[in-house]
Amino acid sequence: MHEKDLIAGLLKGNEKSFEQLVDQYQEMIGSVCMGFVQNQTEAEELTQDVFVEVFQSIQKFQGNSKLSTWLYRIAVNKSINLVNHKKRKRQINKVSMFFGFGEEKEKDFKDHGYRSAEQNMENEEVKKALEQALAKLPENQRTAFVLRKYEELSYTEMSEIMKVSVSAIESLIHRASKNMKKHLNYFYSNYYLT
Amino acid sequence: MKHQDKKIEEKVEEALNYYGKERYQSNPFMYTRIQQQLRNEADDEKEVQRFWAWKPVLAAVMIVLNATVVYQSFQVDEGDLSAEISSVYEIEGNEGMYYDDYSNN
Repeated sequence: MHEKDLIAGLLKGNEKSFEQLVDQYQEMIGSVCMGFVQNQTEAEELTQDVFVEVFQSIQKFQGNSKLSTWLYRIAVNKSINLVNHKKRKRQINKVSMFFGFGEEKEKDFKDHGYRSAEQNMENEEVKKALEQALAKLPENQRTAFVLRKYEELSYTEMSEIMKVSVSAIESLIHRASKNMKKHLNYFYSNYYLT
Repeated sequence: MKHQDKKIEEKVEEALNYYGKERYQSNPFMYTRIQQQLRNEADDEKEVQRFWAWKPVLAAVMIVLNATVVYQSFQVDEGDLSAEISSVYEIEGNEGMYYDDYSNN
């Protein structure tokens, strides 16, 4: 289905168009979310939330940008919110652990997709390192890093999604890569010290 | 120490290269899941609307109850007053009777 017809169908509340939208864009949205959270289950939940929001706010879509750009923006915002929420949770848990009552929360934290017995431990360690390093990046650097390194989008597409200039995107990616290396270095230094 | 630094550097490179390797697997039931979530949210909204629809009825019931209580309290007051007045008259009447008895004596 052509994008114009798809949007027209969505605006009319046509269920078939919505099903088509999910089929067509699930992988794209899912992979953006995956780039942020590094976890299939959480990426699926985020993708679901993104489509629910799209369904509820399709009337707000003015058609000034491409549908995919609008979808990318919603997916990025939802992912950033979740990452920030998890970061806060981790900080609260650290404080709780310090005062000696954070054990139960730590268990929940692990159960929620951080460690799975079925998955390779080494990959899990790398994913954890990446997730923590990503969470430490400022929001705009994080978004630029994910869209470039995970989605492999062009600078022009990225500038449309993030509403900044191409030169700003270049600078954000450069700083993000530098900071990612720094944070990963810190993670592994601690990892080998303990 | 140098050996450890090299190992850390290798690990960092490994992590950066790993990034993007694990891809999102499309869920064939995604549309069903979304429909279910939308249905649940609509049900919740209906529940909230149903609750608020009761608001005018609830307000009317409260007004009627208040009016009844106020009306009854006035009625009780009036009843008490008349009972009090009649008891006072009764006493005065009795006093008169005693007085009459006394004066007769």
